[in-house]
Amino acid sequence: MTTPQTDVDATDAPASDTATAVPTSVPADATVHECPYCDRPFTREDRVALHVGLQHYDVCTSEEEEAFETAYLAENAEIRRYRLKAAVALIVLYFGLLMVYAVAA
Amino acid sequence: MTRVRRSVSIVVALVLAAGTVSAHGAALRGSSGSLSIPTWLFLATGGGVVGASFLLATFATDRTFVRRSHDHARVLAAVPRVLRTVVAPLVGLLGLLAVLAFGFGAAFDVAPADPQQNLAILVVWVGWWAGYVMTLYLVGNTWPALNPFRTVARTLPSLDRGYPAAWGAWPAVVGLLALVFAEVALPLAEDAAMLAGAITAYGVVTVAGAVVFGVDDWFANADPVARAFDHYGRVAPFARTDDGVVLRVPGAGLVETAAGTARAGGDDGATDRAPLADAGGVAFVVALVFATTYDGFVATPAWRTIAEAVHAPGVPGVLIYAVAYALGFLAFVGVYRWAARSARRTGDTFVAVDELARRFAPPLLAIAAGYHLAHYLGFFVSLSLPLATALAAPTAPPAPELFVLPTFFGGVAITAILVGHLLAVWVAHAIGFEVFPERLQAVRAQYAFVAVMIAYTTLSLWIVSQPTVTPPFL
Ligand SMILES: [Zn+2]
Repeated sequence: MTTPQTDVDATDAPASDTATAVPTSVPADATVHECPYCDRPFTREDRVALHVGLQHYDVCTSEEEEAFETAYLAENAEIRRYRLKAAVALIVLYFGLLMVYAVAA
Repeated sequence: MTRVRRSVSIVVALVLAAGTVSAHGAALRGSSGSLSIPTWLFLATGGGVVGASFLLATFATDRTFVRRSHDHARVLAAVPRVLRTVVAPLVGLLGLLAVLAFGFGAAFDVAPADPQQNLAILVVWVGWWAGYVMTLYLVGNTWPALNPFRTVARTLPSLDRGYPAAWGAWPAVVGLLALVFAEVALPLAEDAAMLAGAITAYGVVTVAGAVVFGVDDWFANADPVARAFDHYGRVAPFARTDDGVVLRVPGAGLVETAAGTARAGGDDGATDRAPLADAGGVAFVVALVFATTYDGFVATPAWRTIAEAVHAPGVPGVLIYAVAYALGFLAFVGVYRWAARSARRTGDTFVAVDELARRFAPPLLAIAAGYHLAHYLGFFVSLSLPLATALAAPTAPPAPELFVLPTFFGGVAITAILVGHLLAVWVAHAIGFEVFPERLQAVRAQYAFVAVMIAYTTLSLWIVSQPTVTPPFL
């Protein structure tokens, strides 16, 4: 990596759970969205919302809960589009191999 | 309802995919090892199965379902104390003494020298390295109780110097690479006395290390054998914890290991240690995968051709092996590092490269286990008869007879490699979901790791599809 990086030691962060303490390294010029509970940096705001809902559900506010649900539903829509592509890739792979077998074996 | 149906159909599809390829494999290796389809197509199909399984795994995006696939464990009864602290250590000590007696005995003509009749060689290579290691990843890790060197070290006074934290797993990486190279370069499977000598040398270093740095610390960190066996045990469905023996889904132990929450199975006093806490731990996992690959690779005709070409102008044989070994290991480390860096990019994340390398290393253990099974199951079955006769009459065993392997055994090897990879794909998927808050981010972060797995499947299928030749110049 050529980008200058500043290391954020996650063990210094007041993590609510050791399993959520993930060592990160943030490029100097990056836009950072931090978790308000464990300071873990994220590349996007919606990922903070998802992270808070998944890791700090027991302590988060009702607004954060709502933001989590919104982000989770938005995720579902994107996943549906991704699945379509994955299904196409599977079909291409399957029939591709089938045709190669018909020719070569 | 739909969730259950979806998960069932994913599992069925994975099994069908594995079955199709292994059926081809069995057919193509059926008649005297000759291929009825071109090798490249066979390899492409194997790689395709791993790729397809990754695509199928992306359909499992329900967090509860993915979590439940590895979070579910049942606590069974505890191992009886007498079995763990008296019977197993005695069996281990007795085994070691027998191996040393029959190994050195062969040099003085008091034990059979024929490798297929010598108890030391059969117990070490067939009983222990092939058969016993299979039980580690198929059942669970019993080595801490059985390990004779641990038993010896525990009876000695300890200097308790305190294991240097900076060393981490690096002594084990060096030790594993040295042991595997010795196994390849020296006739340890033919010369019983040399085998006994090598075991003695290993034993002296191991017991000395345990005495100086403390038994638990030495075997949990620096001993390559204990570390490798601990790792294999993490693939297994059974694990010993403080609460008793736990039964879990195969691969669940690997997801736990990645999260750093795993409790080491069976190491008294050495529990709750994250085994992959440092770069050395990751290098050890890569070394484990590399070592088995190298072992198989030097027995292929392709290697013979390369080695003979390099040997012709007068390069010493051992040097060729050593250089290939070092370059191969560095290549494996480099490729894995590349995958971790790629994961940071495709996953669009701030998680450190080292952390990604650490988190996604445990799936490699499923691959290593599958490859070990592919490599040694046939060897174990065909040599189990000489082992049994040598155990029954150790001083004067009858002429060795081998089991002739049924033709479907080629298919078993291919299935083992594929099942190892499919398990690895699923474990990596579950780990991705633990690391990343966004599910598609978890999927995209795996691209490079899956590409590496596809390449590695192809490589290992190629090695097992090659006829085995004796490595030259050794
Ligand atoms: Zn947080």
